[in-house]
Amino acid sequence: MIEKEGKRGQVTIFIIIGLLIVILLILVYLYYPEIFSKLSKSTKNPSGYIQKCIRDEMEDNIEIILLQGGDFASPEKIGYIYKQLDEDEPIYAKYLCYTNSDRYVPCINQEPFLKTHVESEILNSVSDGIDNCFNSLVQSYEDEGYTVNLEEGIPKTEITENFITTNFNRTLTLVKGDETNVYRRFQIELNSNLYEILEVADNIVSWEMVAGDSLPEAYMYYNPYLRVEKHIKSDDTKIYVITDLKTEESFRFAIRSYPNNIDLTAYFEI
Amino acid sequence: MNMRKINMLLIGMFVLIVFGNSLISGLVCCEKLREGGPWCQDATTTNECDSAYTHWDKFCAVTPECTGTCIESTGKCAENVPKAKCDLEEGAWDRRDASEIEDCQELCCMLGQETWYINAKECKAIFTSYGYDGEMITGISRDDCYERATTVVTGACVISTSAERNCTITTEEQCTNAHLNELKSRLANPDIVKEPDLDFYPERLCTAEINNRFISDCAPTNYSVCKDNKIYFLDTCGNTANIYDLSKTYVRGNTERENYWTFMRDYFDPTICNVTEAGSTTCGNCDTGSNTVCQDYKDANVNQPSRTANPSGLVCGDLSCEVDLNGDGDTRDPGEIKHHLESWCGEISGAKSSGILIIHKNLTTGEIYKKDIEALKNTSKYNIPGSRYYKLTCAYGKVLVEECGDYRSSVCIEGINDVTKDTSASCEYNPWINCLAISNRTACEDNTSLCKWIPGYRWDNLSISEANRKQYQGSCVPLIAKGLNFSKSSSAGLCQMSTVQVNTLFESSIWSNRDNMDDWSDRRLANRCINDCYALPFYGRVYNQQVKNRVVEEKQYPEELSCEDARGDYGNDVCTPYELLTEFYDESEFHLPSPLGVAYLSTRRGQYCHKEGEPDNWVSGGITSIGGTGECGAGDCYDCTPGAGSESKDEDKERDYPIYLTNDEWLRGISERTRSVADCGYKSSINGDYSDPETEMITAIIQKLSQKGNVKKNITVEQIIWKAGAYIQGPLEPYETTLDVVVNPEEDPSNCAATGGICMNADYCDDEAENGEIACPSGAVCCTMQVD
Repeated sequence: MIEKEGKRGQVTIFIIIGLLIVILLILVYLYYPEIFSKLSKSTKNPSGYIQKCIRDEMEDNIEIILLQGGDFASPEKIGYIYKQLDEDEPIYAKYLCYTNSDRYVPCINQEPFLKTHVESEILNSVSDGIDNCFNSLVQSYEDEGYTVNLEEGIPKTEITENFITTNFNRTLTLVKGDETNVYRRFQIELNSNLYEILEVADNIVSWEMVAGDSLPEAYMYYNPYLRVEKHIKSDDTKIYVITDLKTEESFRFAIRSYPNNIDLTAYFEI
Repeated sequence: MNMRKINMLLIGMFVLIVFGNSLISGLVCCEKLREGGPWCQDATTTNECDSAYTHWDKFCAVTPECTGTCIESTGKCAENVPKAKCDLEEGAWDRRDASEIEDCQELCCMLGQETWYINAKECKAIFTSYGYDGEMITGISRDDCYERATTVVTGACVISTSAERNCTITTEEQCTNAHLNELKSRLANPDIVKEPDLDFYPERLCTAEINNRFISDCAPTNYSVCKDNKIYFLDTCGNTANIYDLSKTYVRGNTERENYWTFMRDYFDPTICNVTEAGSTTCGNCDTGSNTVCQDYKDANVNQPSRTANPSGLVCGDLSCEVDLNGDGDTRDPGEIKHHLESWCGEISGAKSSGILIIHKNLTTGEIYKKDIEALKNTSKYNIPGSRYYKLTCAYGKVLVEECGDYRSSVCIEGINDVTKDTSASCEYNPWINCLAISNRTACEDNTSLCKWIPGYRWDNLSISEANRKQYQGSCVPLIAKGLNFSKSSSAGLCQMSTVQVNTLFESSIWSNRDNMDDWSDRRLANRCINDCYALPFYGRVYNQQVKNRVVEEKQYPEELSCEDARGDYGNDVCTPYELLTEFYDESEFHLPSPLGVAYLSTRRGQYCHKEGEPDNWVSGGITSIGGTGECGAGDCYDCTPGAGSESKDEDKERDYPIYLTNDEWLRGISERTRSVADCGYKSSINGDYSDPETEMITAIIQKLSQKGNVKKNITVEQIIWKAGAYIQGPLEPYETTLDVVVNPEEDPSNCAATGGICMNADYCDDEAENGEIACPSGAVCCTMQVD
């Protein structure tokens, strides 16, 4: 009798352990879904895999590009080295408009099509990463016995209102036995207010070219969620920092310009 | 007559800069600077240009290939774009301004409720992306275009099938079969019918009721959304209704509230609720211009309750900042609540002295307050080394700190907006270098100029005739001294150039031993002096300008004296000693209250009188013999025609009065001028540390001259007689280092100045101007200034 009860007790313990394992697996699945997505990355969702693979690198690179005035490579030859009060290391901010003359010469536009340029920089900065991600994807399918065909078009990054979208323009065809699957929609869409930020930057450049200055308060008045800062440096370089308060994106660039309509004749009277 | 000479040298004191009207440097325009440098920049040689690109022998500002318009494939036009850069971007380049190019002409582009002010190509691209055409209106301004957008009639477009009645807000034109696909996409079951019924209700909301029946299935809710910085009610279909107003939440049978959910109302409609600058949880009519923003109640700033009646959690948050301006630990004093986008000038903390003054101006006229101008003249207190201006702005409830330019290249100035009564500040360009180019007092002292006039030496060392002394005999200097980067040679050069040399002449007699002149007392030196005597220690000290409450009496000119002198000619005020001295120099036979010898003034006639018709040939001899006869028998005046001669003849023989009347005035004038220009001279920094005492120093050497003025021999070695604000007491130290640069006032360096340069030691010059050595005194070169 005692022995029988002991066996029942053992069974109960195994059932409890089994239930705990099941609950644990459910919890793991709920809170760490990426573990499962990794396990089934290629077979289930190739588009999701690519997005996940490139997202971090792309977000990091965008942050660098924005801090350097639109360039991914440090713009040392055409930038102003600048450090904000709360930063450890100074960073070069690119001159979007620049004159090396001393007085009363408007700046020359160094990056006339800023949005197009930033789109191009974002794409170029992740081009190797994209290739690596697709190579990894292809390899994983091949490891699973698929015959893989990857057609490569020309990828494109586009900055639109509220988004930065990169369309990889690739078509993946998987063949295994009689089954053929074709995947076309490889793209990543990041929430971003960069479109509005760059519009403001463009407008600042225009004002600097005409008036030699701009008024940050005006931009903050009309764009309630943008913070626009202007810091004047020793050689009359101005560092502009445009920050979106919702997305916390921050675009930093330099300008050196003067108004071209100042009448100096009064100064030289004798 | 033998003459002896004292060279008074003041080093590290002031700079001689006269800029011409051409401040642009460079001889060529590089299409691109080498090593990946910027496009279209001026350079001094073609070596600075990228060899893969071209260059032009003119300034870039006047090179058409640098300043054209580039048209992108999207139609976007960008100005001031170099041709080579445009080509690289595959744009179409045009040397004309965008305003002259037809493809760049902006027009009013309207599509449904959306409006843009862009060029035709960009507008067409939008039409293409939306899939249908809108309207392009030319010949109207940007403002008129956006104004027109507000007149576009919109309303509820109801899309009905047998199963549902959905709704969206459109224009009447958009609520037609031409836009059927877009409208059908709003239906839950779009495929149930081929063509749903479309009904347009102008200026009605989707929640409108007609005859007590909703026009669609979209019903009012208490939820809301932020849109264009307003809070709008939402209906069950996701359409925005009118501005959120807690008192207008939908209640069936309440006519006022039913109407609020039926008729469209603009946010500026007088029946719409208003939000005060403290924000609101009940009204959604937020406005950044009135200090409020649509935001989640959790993010809202001061004066907001912890929760809101709005179930979406949105409020018009107060964007004010609380600032402890006077540092008393609270923010309850007047002016310590700053509105959104209000800006003001601030100080940094942590230093012994911030070294800056909050400068105020009239925002309408641009004039700086006179009391601030007067205060800024104190170079020991304001704009001292290390000081910097900051502009502070209240933005979204936080204070943004913006540094004005390094080295005080720009300064913060604030004023009060007459309408809003808010403070408005800006970092304004410090025109220090322009001040140095101004040569007349009126232009210099303009209340908007940020410059000040210091009577005395001119930057070009010219001496102006008496008639124009007040207007032209002096130097215009910055009101805000420029900071210097001492790691740069040009900064050292700036102070190094602050050197004046004064040749003071003495008349000795054959009865005196000229070789022991270094034993002469200060008084005897003063009494025997005949030219530039103000450089002598204590010269005219009895008649120094008076100092009251640390303010020094202003320089007086004879023509403006209004005090009662010994003859009672001028007015009721009693003359100050300095005013008496002014009159004395201007008027022969004017009696000072004390004998000249006692007052450390010259007793030689040559100091005051020249030979008739020969202004540069001074007379010799003493003013009179003590106990002698004539007007100046007591030795308290001079007479250029003693014993005879009319007043007009006397006038003809009077020399112009000196630039400085006393040694005290000279010392103060040159010190003030030096300290005003930049971080030069003997000053305290914001940390309380003083600069090297030798940054202000006078050395002297006594030389024996021939009648022709040639040096026959040195009586003494060069010795330091004054340092860091005081004459040396006791034995004098020899000055070991010969000054590199000596600017002799008699050698006019204006040729250099006319080229926009300054004369300085070659060691300190980074960029020597052509023919500089010819234009400058011996030992100096004409240097093109590139000042940080």
